[in-house]
Amino acid sequence: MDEILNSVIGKSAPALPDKLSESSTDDMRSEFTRLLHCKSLGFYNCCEITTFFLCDKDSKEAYHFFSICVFEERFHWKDTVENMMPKLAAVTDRVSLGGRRRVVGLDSAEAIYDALCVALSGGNVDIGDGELKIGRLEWVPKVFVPKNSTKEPILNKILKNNFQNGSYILEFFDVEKPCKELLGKKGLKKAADVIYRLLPVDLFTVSDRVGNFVFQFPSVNIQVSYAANREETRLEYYVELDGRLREKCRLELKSQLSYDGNTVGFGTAVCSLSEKSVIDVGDSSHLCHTMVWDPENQLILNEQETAFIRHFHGEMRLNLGDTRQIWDEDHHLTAEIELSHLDDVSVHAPVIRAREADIEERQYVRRAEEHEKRQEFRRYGIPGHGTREEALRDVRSLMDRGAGGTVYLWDPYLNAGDLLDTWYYTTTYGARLKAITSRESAAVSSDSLEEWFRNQREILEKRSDNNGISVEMRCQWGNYGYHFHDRFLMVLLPNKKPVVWSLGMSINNIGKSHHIIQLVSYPQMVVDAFEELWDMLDHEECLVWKRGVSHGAK
Amino acid sequence: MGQSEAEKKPTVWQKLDALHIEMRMGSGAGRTDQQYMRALQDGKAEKNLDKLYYFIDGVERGLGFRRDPLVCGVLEQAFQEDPERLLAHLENREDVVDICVLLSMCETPVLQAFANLRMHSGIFAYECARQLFRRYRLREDCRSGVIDAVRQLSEIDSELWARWIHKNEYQIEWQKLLGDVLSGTSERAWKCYAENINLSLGADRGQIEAVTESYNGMAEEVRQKFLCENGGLLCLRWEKELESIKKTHTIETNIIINAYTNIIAEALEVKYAEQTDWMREVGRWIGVLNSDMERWYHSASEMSVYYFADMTQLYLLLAVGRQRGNDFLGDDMREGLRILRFYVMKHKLLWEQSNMWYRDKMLDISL
Repeated sequence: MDEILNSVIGKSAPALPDKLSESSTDDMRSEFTRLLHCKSLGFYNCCEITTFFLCDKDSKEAYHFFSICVFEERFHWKDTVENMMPKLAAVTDRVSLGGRRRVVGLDSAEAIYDALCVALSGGNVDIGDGELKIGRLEWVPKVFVPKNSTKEPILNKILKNNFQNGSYILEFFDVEKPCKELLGKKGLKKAADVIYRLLPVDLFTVSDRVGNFVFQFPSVNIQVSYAANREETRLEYYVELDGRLREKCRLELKSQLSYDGNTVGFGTAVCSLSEKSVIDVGDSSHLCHTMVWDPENQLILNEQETAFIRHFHGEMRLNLGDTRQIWDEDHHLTAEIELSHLDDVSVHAPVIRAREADIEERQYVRRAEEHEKRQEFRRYGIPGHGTREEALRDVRSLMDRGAGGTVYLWDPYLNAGDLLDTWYYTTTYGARLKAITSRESAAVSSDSLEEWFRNQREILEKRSDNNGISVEMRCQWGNYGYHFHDRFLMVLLPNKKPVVWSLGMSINNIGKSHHIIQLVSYPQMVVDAFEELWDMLDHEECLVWKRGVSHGAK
Repeated sequence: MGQSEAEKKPTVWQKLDALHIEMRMGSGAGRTDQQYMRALQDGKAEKNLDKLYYFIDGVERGLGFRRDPLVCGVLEQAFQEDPERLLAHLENREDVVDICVLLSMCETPVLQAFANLRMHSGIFAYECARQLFRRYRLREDCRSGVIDAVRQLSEIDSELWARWIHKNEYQIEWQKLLGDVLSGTSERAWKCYAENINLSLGADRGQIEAVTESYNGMAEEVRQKFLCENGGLLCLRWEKELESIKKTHTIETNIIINAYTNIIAEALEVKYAEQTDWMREVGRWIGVLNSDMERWYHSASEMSVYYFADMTQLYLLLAVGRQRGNDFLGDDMREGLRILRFYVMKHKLLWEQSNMWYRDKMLDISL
C-alpha cells in the first residue's frame, strides 16, 4: 500500500504505465466527444482558439503560455487567423509575448485535442501556431463552471462570456510550467497585463492556469428563469429550450434553499419545456441553489445560486452644505466639520415569517460581536500604541456609529472642552448625545459648582456655532444620584443590541498615559445603570447644558 | 439765468444711466450664501457665465431679486417713452447680473415687446428669453414672447444658443415650443441645434411625446428641409452616441428609446431614402451585431449594452424600411434578417419581461 501511495505522490513525476495511459486516452476522447456532440449544451459549429506564446530571444524557442478553445455556434464562420497584437510585446529583456486567434471547424478542434492527448509527457506540441514548448500535461476530467451569481467562480476570469448558464471545461494542466520559469514573477505580471488589455482573461489572478490548454463548452441551449410566489412557498421555473431540441430532450431540475445553515426548502421537477415547472419547496425565500441537468448525458446545463432581495437596508446621507465650526478661546477656527443629514431609506418585504426576525437578530448580534472583537481592544499612551490624537480619532469614530440612534457618555471628569474635542467632530446632523459628568470635574478646575456650570455653558456657546448639535449633559453632585468612577461610551441604535466600550480613562486624558479601550461583554447592564443614574439626575440643578432636539426617546 | 425746476429734474434716461447695481452679502450670511457670493465675484472676474448663473439661479431659487418700486417705475416710464431706446440702454449693460436684475423688474408685456424688437446683444437676448421662459413656466401668457426671444438668440449668438439648448432640453415646456422656434430660424441655427441636442436624453417623463408632437407641428416642407440639411449630421452623431453607450457598462434590457428617437428615425429615413443605401446600412449593422456577439466581454452587463445598442439601430432601420415600404427580399437581406432573428432568440433572456413587446416587434419586422 505504502509503495502505491509513494508512487502516486512521489515528487519526481514517473512515466505513466502504458495501460493506464491508453485507458485515459479513451476517457479523454469520449468526454470530449460527449461534450461536443451531446447537443443539450450547444449546437456548436466552430471553435475559437486563442493562444498566447512566449518567444525566448536567447534560445530562439517558442513556449506555450495559455490557450483557450471555445466552442460556439456562429451563424457564419470561416477559417480565420488573426494576430492579437501588431507585433510581439516585450515582457522581459529576453522574452516577448505573442498571441493568435483562429476560428476553426470542429474537426480541426478535435485534431488539436487529439494532439494534446498524445503530448501529455511534455516537450513540444503544434496546435496550429508552430511548435511550442510545453511541460508535462495532466488531463483534467470535465468540470462545470457555473456563471457568476452569489459566488464568482475564479475560473470565470479566464473563460469567455460565461454568463448564460455556465460552461463545461476540459483542461490540459501544465504541471511543470516551463513558461513561468522563463518569465519570473515580474515577467508573468507583465505578460498577464498585456493579455488583460486585449481580452478579459486575468492570468495574474488565475496564475495556476498559465501554460494550460482549456477547452470551453458553454451551455447555451437552455434559458432558465424563475421566481418565488407571493407566499414564498414555491418556486416557479421557466426553462426554455432551443427549438431544435424539443421532443428529443428531457431535462430535470433541482432546487435547494438554505438558511441559517439548514436546508429549508428542497424539490425536484421534470422540466416541462416552455411551460412553468412548479416546485413546492416549503420555504422559497432564501438562498436558492438550482441545477438543471440532462439525465441522459449526465450533464449539468445550468447551475446557479440566487438570493432574492427581500430587505434593502439603506441610509441616505444628504450633505446640504451644513458645517459645524469649532473655535479656540481666542475665537480662531480650529475645525470645520462637514455635516450630513441621515435618512433611513430601507425597504422591507411584507413579513411572512415572523420567526425570522428572531433568527436574524441572533445572526446580527453574532456578526456584530465578531466584528467588534476585531476592534475590542485598543491600547493607547505607550510608545507605539496610540497618541492622544489617535485616541481622540478613535473615540470620534466610535461616537459616529451612533448616527440614527443615541450615544451615552459617562465620565466623572467630562467637561465642555472634552465634548468639543470629541462629540463636536461627529458628522451626522442632529445626532444625539446624553452625557453624565460629576462634581469631580468642577473640583479639578477649583471653580464653585455654579461657576463651573456657567463656564461650561459659556464655552459651548462661544466655541462653536453648534450647528446640528443635540446634546444634553447632566452633572452628578451632592445628593443627586450617586458617586461613580466609571468611564463608558455607549452606542444605542434602534432594534439593535447596545454596544458599550470601557474607556479606561477620562476623555480629557485619553492617549496621554497608558489605558485600554475595550468592548464590554454585558452591555445592557451598563446601559441600564447609566439610564438609572440619568433619571436620578433629572433636575434643573443637575443640567449643565442642553441643546438640540428633544431627548424624549431612549 | 437759473434752470427751471423741470430742467433740474433728471430725465428717466439720466436716472437709468445713474442706476448702479451692486450685490453685497448680508451680515450673518450662511455658508451657502457665501458660496453663491464667491461664485458671483469669481464669475465677474473671470467672465464665467456658469458661475454667474450659479449665483442667479441660487437667488431665484431662494427669495428672488427684490422688485424695487422706484426702479420698476423708472423702467416702466422709460418703456412708455421709447421702448427701443430702453432696449438699447439695457443691451449696453455688460453685466449679466445687472441685466437680470433690471429685466426681473420689467413687466411681462415689456419683455415680450423686447422680443419683438430687434435685439443685438446675445446675452441680453439670452436673459430676456430665460426670464420669459421662466414666467411662461409659471403659467404666464407669454408663449410667443419666448419663441421670438429664442429665435433671436439663435441668430445672434451660436454659443449662447447652444447653451440654451443644453440648459433647457430636459424641460418638457421647452420641448413643446421647439417646433415653433425651429420653424422660424435660419439654417445656421438648425445646424447648431442638430449639433447640440443631447441624443441620450431620457424619455421617461414624456419627453419623447413632447418632442415628437412639437416637431410634427412644423410645416411639412420646413421639416423636410431641416432633415435634408441635418439628417446626415444627426445620423452621424447618433452612431457615435451608440458607440459611447457601448462604453458605459450600464445594464440595458431593451431597445434604447430616448427623447429624440423619432427624430433620429426620420433622419435615418431621409439619409437612407434609396433602397440600396438602406439595404447596405442594414447589412452593415447586421455585420456589427454579428461581430459584437463574437467578442469577449468583461461582464454580462457589458454584453447587454453592446447587444441592445446594435439591436436599437437595427430596429430603427427596419422600422424605417417597413414605413417606406422597402423591399425586404433579396438573398443578402434575407440572410441578414435570419442572423438578426438568430441573435434575438439566442439572447432571449437579455430582454426584460416587460420589454417582450419590443422583442416580438423586432421578430415581426424582421420577417
